[in-house]
Amino acid sequence: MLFTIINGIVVIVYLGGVCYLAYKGRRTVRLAPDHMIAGQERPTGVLGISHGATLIGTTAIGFGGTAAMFGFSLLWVGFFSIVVGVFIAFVFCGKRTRLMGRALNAYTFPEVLGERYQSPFIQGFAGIVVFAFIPIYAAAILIAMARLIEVSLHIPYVLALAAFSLFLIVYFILGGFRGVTYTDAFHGVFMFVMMAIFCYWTYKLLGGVIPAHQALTAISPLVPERLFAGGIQGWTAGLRFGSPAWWIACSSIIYGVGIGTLVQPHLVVKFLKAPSERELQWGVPVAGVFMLAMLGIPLIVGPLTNVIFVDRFGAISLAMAGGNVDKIIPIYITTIMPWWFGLLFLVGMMAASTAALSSQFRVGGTCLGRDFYAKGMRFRRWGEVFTTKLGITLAIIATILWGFVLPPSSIVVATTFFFGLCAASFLPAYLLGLYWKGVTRAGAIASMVGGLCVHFIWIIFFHYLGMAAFFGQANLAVNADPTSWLWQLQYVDPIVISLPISFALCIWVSRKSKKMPKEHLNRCFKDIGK
Amino acid sequence: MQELLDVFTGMGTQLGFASAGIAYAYIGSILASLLCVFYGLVLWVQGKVAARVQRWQKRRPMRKGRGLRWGRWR
Repeated sequence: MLFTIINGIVVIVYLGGVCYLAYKGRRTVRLAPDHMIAGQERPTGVLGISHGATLIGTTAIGFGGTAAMFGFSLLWVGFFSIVVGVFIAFVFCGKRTRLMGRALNAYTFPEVLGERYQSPFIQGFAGIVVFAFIPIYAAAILIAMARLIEVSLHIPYVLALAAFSLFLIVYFILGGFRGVTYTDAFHGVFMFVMMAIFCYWTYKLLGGVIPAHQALTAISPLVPERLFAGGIQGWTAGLRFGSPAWWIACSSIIYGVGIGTLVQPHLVVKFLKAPSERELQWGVPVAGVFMLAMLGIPLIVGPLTNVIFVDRFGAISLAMAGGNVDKIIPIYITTIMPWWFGLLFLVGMMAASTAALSSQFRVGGTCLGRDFYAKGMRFRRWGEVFTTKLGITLAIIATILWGFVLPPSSIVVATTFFFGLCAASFLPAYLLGLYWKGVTRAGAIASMVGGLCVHFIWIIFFHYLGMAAFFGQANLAVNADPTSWLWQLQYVDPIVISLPISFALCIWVSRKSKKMPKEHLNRCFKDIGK
Repeated sequence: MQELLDVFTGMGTQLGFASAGIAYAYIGSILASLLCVFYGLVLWVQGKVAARVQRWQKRRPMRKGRGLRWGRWR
């Protein structure tokens, strides 16, 4: 009880301090670009810390909990997030995006696409897609935070969600744009230290690295029968090939998140606001290490919680959390870790979540105000800042509503949905547009619209979650023979189908349609390759 | 060659896992992170070397003789 009261006091003091910082930072936001990218000057290394700590790290509670169910196989997400989401993104896309963005005077991700293909439609389409769906990803962060508050402060989930949402609204009304820009580095370093302690403490409790893994291997007979039938053979063994668990882990979580990190709108904005190439170069090692800490450590600790819970309480993690994987890490922190760690972790996650949500809401708002309203609808700059602020408000409201509506265990589902959607809609037009002068406007439009349509058709009619969520009915593949490939289709993530189709459409239509003007291409690529 | 293959196949057991694939993911994630660090280090060293060469080139005499000596312009 005493610790709960201390936790509550520290949280309130922290929230008050952040609101004060936001109010102070408000005075510096004057021009339209400040609302788009919050200025361009940043100290070296902050880009990498911010990317590693806030892009995906804030949903690590959900990933850790899901790993507690699926086992160590999910570590492949960590591997792909570092290789694709950091190395390939920074080295092969970051520099080109920054140079092309500057040459075309682009401030947002849809604006890069729109200017590259000289198409207000592309900019408006990308803007409205991002604006419509980014609240689902933001809701995953909000839910993670609410679950942590629920377990740490012993209050109902709905109250935790409402309280943190109220804080977010106050924070944004006070103008928390630059307030978080300058504290990103602090948030990142703080969470890095927390994660290092988290990993060390868990391995220490289990007697070291290899004994911990061996203990987890030894309790593999405790995998529930339902999960075993679904393909989970043990927490340290691979998933059974072709089983539902294998398809969900490989196609949705590993492939979907691994590839999707490459084309996140808020990551592209980070590239656009990098003040120099040096900042991008420093971003690679910093983000690589931070991604390992923020995503890799929860994916390691998650499965190991099973051993500790079985040892202390005689139940595996999923049973401890009542079947809600989103609660596994918060319960582990409050019951197993020392109380001071729980308090610091809570405050650190609040800071990182606020920074991440700030970035998402700003992206959502600018996508509506600048990209959809001003460029897509051709209202030019009239009322752009007002519409951007309106977009931020609507994004916050939509996020809170999604937070209330989404069912338990939905952090990873919401994250994979948004990452997959972004990859299917934007990756071919973005990636090929950076490297190939032959991509045409028609090719980009076909790829974006086609990729999005295929993605939704698959979700609604074939995916095991889609049709039930939309129409309350079983999907088209559910009545097939459980040993057939047709039955397995319901567990295949839409990105497996939509991304190749999107790439094929982009290349095929570009080859058949009218080329872009040479002068424009020269302008796009004028600084690239120097 | 066989010994190398044995090391790779036995990596899972050595690390306490039931499958070698998990060990590859575990080590692969750490190696991927190290790759990023080494990439940053290489660029940093390249930048240092380039800066040193630039400084050295500036220090070379532009024209020998006519009152100009080795070192900087006076």
